[in-house]
Amino acid sequence: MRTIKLKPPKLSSSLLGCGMAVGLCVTGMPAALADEGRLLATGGATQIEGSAGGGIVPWALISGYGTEDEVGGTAFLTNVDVPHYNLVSGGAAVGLYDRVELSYARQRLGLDNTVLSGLGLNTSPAIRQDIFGVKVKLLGDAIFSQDTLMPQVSVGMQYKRNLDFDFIPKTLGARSADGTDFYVAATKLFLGGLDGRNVLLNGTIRMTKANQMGLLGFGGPGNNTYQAEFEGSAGVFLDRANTWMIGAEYRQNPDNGLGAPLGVSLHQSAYKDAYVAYIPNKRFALVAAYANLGSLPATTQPGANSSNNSGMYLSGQFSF
Amino acid sequence: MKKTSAILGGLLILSAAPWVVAADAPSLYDQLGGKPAIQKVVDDMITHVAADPRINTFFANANIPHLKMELVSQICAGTGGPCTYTGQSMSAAHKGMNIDSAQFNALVEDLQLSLADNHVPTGLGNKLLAILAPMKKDIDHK
Repeated sequence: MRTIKLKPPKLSSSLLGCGMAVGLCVTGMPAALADEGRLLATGGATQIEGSAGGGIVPWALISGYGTEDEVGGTAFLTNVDVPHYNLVSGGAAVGLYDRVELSYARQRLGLDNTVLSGLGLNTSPAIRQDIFGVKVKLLGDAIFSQDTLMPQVSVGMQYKRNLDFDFIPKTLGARSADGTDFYVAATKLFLGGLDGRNVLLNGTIRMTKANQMGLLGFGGPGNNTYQAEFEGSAGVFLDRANTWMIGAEYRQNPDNGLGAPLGVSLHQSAYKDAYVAYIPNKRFALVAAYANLGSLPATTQPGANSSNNSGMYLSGQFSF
Repeated sequence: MKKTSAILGGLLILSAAPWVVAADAPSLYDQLGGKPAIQKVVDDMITHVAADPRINTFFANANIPHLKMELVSQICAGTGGPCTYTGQSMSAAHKGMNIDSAQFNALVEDLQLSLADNHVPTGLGNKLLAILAPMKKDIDHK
């Protein structure tokens, strides 16, 4: 029987909070008119460059919980502490009709005063960069196409502008203060895929010249061309409601021979993380990870080599 | 070389289904507890739907006993039970209803609530959802 259709209002009602969120909200509040028509956890978290993804890898999912009839989005703040470095990233993304994602993030890499001792500096400076992202879903549906192996596929780009290029990146031999990464990401959820648990797999290939995501500039003495790098994520949802997820990620980086002008060898290696995500409702998500940000130099003393840097990653996301 | 093999590894992961079904495994229908269990899940789902202002108007004039019977029959058939679904195709049944994704997902969430109410093991519930999920393309925006 045909009945009158109740169309959810658009963005105007979307900031009313969990009380208006849909049924899976932990508070069990009545349902909902916000733009949160997608299922819990299907907007992913926000990766460290501001795109919907895991912790370090962009996924094919579009940010927020908006369906193809809705506009959604997220804001996030992430902190990573590794020896000698602190990386803070914050920003926001808008998901348009589950098709296009626009994102912005500001990253700030703080260095402790041992890092720059080789430059004769005794300060605790920071390197900042802005990242503007666009992602477009091309085809597939990561969640509902359970009858095929076809993943959801998106393409994206991240334009990055280093704000402190002349200070350190240039000194290390980086060629450019700005650069653009291009990527294609394929993401698929396998409902009941592993011993009855829901499994998410993602593979991303990125074309990039970035040193440490661009925080150390783009290109270098050893290479100044685009390299194809692989990034992968795998995660398992632990509970029925998909509020807890554990997983791991891997992200290759180009090695552009940074540090050569100083006689320092800063081989850039892959990023890795192992994470726990807590997604209690469609408002908030928290991700805690043990992350390895590849090799960052402990000092810039001549002859120094880069050392591996692992530490705590914490990220909070608010969806609207 | 290292890079190439990592890319290949990633593609392999994406192309391999991570489940393996043994040929003589009991059907999902039997694992769920057969028709009585499925009827209970459907009954409770409809109770949640009736209380769900996002979608209950769709069902305001529906023949609920008939709807439940068709849903049970469909789930029974889809999970390997001894039933044949004889109702309308999903696209025919929803034609002209202008159901959007948010409303389809609302029904999924009501089903998830019912699965939880009935303590259906998470793995069985996920497998049931995997069977039903592809129907979305025949239901919304028709």
